[in-house]
Amino acid sequence: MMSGVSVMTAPLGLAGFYLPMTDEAFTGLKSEPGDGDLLERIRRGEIDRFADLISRYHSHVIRIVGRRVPADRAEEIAHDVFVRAYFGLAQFSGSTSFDHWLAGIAVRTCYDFWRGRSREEVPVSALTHEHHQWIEQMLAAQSADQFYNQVRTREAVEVLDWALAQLSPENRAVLTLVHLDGLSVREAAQLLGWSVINVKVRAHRARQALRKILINRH
Amino acid sequence: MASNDENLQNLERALIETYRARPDLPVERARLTQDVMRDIRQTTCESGWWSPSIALDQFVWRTATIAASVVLVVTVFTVAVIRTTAGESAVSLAEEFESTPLLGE
Repeated sequence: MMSGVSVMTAPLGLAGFYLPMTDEAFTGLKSEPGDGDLLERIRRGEIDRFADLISRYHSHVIRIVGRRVPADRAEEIAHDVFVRAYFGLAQFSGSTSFDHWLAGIAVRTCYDFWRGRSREEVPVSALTHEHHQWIEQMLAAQSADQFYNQVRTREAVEVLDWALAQLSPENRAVLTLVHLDGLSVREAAQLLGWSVINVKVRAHRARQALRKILINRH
Repeated sequence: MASNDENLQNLERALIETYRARPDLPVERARLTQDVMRDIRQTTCESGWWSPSIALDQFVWRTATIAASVVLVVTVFTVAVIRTTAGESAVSLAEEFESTPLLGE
């Protein structure tokens, strides 16, 4: 049954976690046209074939975007990602896989979103008593079970959003890729289109900044 | 101090796990596809933008590269010529001074 299916994933693999470079649900059935075929047809003027690419990579983009921007903006940002991808197709040389190239656009679109947001100076909401309580619980040594139960709470998500909101867009982008997604500095640099040194320095500074935010949270 | 650091690491680990435990957002595929395609068609029609072509892109970049190279070569050549001319005129001027007798000697 599965013999005719070739899984076309190109994950940025790391122990325990990876940023999926394509939708796991997507398996390139041999009867379906490959990315290369679709791209060629789009370049020849068959614009409608781009809809096939959207269907194929919809979950892939949503997964990347959904973790980086507020839930109510995710659809809008995913929309921008695909529009940018379409008008940037001329820059896609094929040296990397299409899903990897698309992941880069998604990451940079989210980064642009936060840059725009920082210019608007949207105020960061303060932590409540429940948030402080959650932080105290996490700071104290716990059993593994307690730990994993606590990370799935609403407070946990809100503290994470609060902490990330205090970072600069650059620090946020790098911290998300390197520390949260668990990508290597090189992989993060590729996705952001920045130099490896820049990402390395920023990853260190971003972590220090996050620690400072968590320590001086009052 | 070490204990504080350990506690902070616990908190960091918790935030990392929280991030990774986030469920995927439900976004309707058909609607997203429809909206994107509508925007693409609209932009393409409005701006007279035609489908992307690698050939055109390569042509533009190659032309720009050749033009930049020609400009560079011409600039280097011009600078070299000017320097040579300036050097020659300085030398000939010096020779003229040397050969001219001072105070009519």
